[in-house]
Amino acid sequence: MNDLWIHPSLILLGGAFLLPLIPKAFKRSYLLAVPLLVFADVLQMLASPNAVHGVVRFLNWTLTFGRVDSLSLVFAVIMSGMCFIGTLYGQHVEEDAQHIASWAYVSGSLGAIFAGDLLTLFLFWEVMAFSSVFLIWFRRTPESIRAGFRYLLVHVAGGLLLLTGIILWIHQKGTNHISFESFGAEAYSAPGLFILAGIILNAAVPPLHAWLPDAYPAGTFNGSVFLSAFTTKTAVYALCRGFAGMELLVWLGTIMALYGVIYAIIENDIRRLFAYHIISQVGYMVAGAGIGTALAINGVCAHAFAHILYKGLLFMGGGAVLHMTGETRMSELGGLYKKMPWTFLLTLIGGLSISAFPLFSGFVSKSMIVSAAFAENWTPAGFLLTLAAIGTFYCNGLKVPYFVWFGKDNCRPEVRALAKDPPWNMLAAMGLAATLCIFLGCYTPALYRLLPDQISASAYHPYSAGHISESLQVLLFTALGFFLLVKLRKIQPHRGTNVDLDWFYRKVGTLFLWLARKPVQTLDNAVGETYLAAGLLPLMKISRFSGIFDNRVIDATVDGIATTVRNLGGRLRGAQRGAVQENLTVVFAVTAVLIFISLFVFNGFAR
Amino acid sequence: MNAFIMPFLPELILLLGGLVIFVITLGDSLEKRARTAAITIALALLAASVLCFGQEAVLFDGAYRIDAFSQLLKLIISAGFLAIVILGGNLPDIRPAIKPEYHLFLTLSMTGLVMLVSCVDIITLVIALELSAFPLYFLVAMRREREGQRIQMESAIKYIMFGIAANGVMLFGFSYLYGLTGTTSLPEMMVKLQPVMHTPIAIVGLTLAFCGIFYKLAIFPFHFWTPDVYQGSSNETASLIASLPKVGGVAVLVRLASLASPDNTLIPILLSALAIVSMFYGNLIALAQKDLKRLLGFSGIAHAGYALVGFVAFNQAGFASALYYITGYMVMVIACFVVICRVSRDGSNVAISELAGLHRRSPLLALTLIVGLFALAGLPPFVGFMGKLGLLTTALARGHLALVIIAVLNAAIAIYYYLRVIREAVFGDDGGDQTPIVLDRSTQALCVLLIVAIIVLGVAPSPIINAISGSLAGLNLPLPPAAVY
Amino acid sequence: MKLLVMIETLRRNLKTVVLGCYVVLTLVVVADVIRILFAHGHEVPAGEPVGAAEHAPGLWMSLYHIAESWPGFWAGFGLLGCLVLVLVSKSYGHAGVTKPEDYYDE
Repeated sequence: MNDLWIHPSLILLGGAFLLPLIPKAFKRSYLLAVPLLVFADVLQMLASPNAVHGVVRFLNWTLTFGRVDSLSLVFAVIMSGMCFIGTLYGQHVEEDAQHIASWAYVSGSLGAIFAGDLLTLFLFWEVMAFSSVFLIWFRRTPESIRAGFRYLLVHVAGGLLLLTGIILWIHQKGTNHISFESFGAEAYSAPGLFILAGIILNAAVPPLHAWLPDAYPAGTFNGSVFLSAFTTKTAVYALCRGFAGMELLVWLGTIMALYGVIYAIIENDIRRLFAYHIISQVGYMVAGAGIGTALAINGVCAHAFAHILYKGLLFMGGGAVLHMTGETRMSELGGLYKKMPWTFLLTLIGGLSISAFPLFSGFVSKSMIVSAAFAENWTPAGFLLTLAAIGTFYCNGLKVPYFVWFGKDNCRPEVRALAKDPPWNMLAAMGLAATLCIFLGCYTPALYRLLPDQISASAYHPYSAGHISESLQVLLFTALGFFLLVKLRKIQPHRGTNVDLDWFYRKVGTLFLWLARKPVQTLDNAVGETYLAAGLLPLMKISRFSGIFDNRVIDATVDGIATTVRNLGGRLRGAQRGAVQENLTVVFAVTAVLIFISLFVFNGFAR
Repeated sequence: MNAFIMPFLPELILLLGGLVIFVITLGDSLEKRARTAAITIALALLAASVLCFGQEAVLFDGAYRIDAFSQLLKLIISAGFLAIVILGGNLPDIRPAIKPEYHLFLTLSMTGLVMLVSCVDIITLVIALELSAFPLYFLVAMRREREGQRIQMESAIKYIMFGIAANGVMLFGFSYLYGLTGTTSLPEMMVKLQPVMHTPIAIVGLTLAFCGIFYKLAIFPFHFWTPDVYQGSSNETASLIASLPKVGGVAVLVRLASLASPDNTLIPILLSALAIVSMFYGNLIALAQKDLKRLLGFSGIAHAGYALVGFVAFNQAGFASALYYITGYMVMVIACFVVICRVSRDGSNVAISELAGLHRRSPLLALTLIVGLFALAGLPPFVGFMGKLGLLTTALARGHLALVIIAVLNAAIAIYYYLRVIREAVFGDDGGDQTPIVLDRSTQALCVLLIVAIIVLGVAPSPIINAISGSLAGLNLPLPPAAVY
Repeated sequence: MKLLVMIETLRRNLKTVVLGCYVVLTLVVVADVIRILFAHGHEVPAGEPVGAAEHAPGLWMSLYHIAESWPGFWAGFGLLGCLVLVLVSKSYGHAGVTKPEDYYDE
């Protein structure tokens, strides 16, 4: 065991802790130095893969904080790298707390990646959930505050599923079996399914996906760059680790890939469109994890690697438009290439990468998963995933560039006045990501050498004549279809909200609120009136009525399911009105009942 | 003589200190001096507790025992006492004329608590309980009468009525136990109770005896006073009531619970029923609160429910995790109350919306609040998480799976309202008061210490858990025969 | 700014660009015809079915063989797929999924 091993999360958290103490003059260099240090820390682990570090005996458990192997390393490398790019992108943000939140978020992600047991995984899982919500809240618009809360609620529920699974697992296996390995056949047992549910919620698998397009577009311009990279990919890692080869995932992943694309096609807000494409792209990875062969798992890792870069790049492009103009709806943009040429070029590179254009990174990674699907006779999945690729190119490579940067100029005057290329650090971060996208696409060994299974990685050659020909045909004729549709004026973007499953926790909750509030309120009032009329106790007369009753009005800032739960609280509160004799009666009654029951039960035992 | 003074030193210091403050109260406008005296007493008490750590003795004809358990709890309580005195500041919301008296009753209440953990006889136990409770009733009523505000009187009377009722129930239970065993000494009672533990009367007696403690802990259905008293009493009184008596309560509950043998099946069922109801009741109602103190009051009911989960396991590991949890709870809740006391303008209650912009008004307070609430919500790596984990695993080890899942569910509900407070503090609409809050040195130190304690207790729980478990081993050992001084 | 000049130049000669695109499209299909007709022996495509598991009904398998042996199959797949996807999505949107922007505002 190498004692010199330092957990990268520790560096990040320490760096975040010290950030407020750094003098202003050094702050910008410090912001770059810490992620670089983390990246270097991860890179030096490549020298000695397959090691276990940071084993801690804690209470009754053996916790493993540093399981370093080829699977965890490939995720760690790209995540620590993305941390640098993301920080560079938001380097000019002066609020320390934003950087602290994003670093804590990344540290949660890295911690989960290196976690060798379920408890450590859960610990970092929660760190991730609770730090990421701040990236949304920091945008400070009422909508983002609400979206952040919904996001948090969903993730608390997800964490709960995961924890329930872990508890059941420990209950079944005993405290010594908490290591996080493949669940194999037990994936379909109750604990396995709970854990799976917790993980696929984070991976945004429908029907547990609605939080993603709800929350990510609500984040700050740089926060969304972080969000796009970490939560879902950490979940993908966990799927590879625990549920590789689970057939259910192939179907879920395929559905997911198409579902995301369909919503993306009708979406008007570019950041929401990109968010739906996260779902779609993660669908490939989930399907790959489900196929589970060496080639498929390699494909998942490669695709996650490439995806983090190009999705980050796309969100950086969207963030740049938002940051400079304050507008992200395609129906209100257009013709921006004159104002933001570099942002256009770099975002286009991201779009071509996600579309798996030859010479771009998506080409060398996505094809691995599709090939693995065909190779394992998952033929329908293979075709459907290719279909999803069409939608991907349609949106990212064609629709967004066309309607944001070319097309009809629909900008409001103030938007047009504000539009220009963003500050140098944002362009530099985008340039770095774009360079890497092209580099990975052109020089395949750079990525392939990191993959878990070297035998199948070295046997795989994406640049075969057949593959190039197939890709070019699919992509270029998709482009033909797009321009046909443009000519036919079929696809002008329109303003609108697309209802997704978040409707349930947004709308039904409100309805429930309306239904529940009336009767409860009426009843509550009635009781209050009766109390007043009956003259009450002298005690109650002394007290100021308002002091007890003024808390009734329900804070309406948070909508949805939250209000529903809280309403239950409001209902219960009727019992807590503060009449001593009433309460004492309850006390004695409950005590008596408890004693009576205990005696009854006791007699049952005695017999 | 020394053999008496040394083990009894903490109590003596408190009694002496009470006397000193009493003398101070006789003079006019000596608030400052009373406060200095109180802080000195608290420091001396802490020092004495450290000094007496590890002492063992039996005093007063076997009615009072100094052992590892009592000394450990005295240490915890005295640390809490110091924090309370510091956060009280110059008592902005207490009638100026009686500020010295406030310190007097505070000290007396502490005396009761410190004695409580050493009592191994029913008689001394009841006396100590009353001694710790009665001053609190006064403290509640001592709040200043501002315009039209008489809620403190109502709260105080409510508090007294409930206290008396609960005590009556408890004494009734004790009378059963005495009738069964013919002794008031807990160690002897434990021996004599074992053969008759299966009789209904023993179970009823023990259950009723528990009730008095449930009142202290604010377990359902003995919780009705909690929110009103938190809201009605001044901020510093509420922080006292919310924290220290609960530690004492759990300690006594441990002593009483160990009267029944671990294989008793009935009492765990009762306790888990109460734990479940308390958790749901407290958490659900807390969701709808707007007054921060009231919110903490309801959440306190839920936390008492969590602590009870440890008792459901009904073995030493369970008791240890309950004690660890309640110790952690004390630190977390004091951290939140420090913020309440400092944010509040001239001592009035703090609505959640008043926290808006706190991170700008006082970053340290905001950090304290965030850490405190995150810990209460049970997020890693804070003590609240470790405490809950400990409770759940001990309960799970005994096979109470359903209870564990319910507790986890409740922890998730709770996250929601704690986060609502944090959201308000950090992202609230800061249209209101934006004047920076200036903290004095002692408050700053207190905030830092609380934050460190919350983190250290959570990251490295082993020392304190081991200390608690170790001290539990000697609990209720038979008294040595010649234990008389 | 070079980049801007380049884009402007391309836009000015839009006719030529479009023509170029058609040429590229044709070339891609022609290349595919040549590739399949003149493939010596049996070129192993990236995803030759080797797995033992059978996840697909026969229809899908024959579709797979068509895809592997018909030149220009993927071109048609791309064009049709694009049109169908957009059509399906749009009608899905118009079926009530797309609401006014202030739909969630109370």
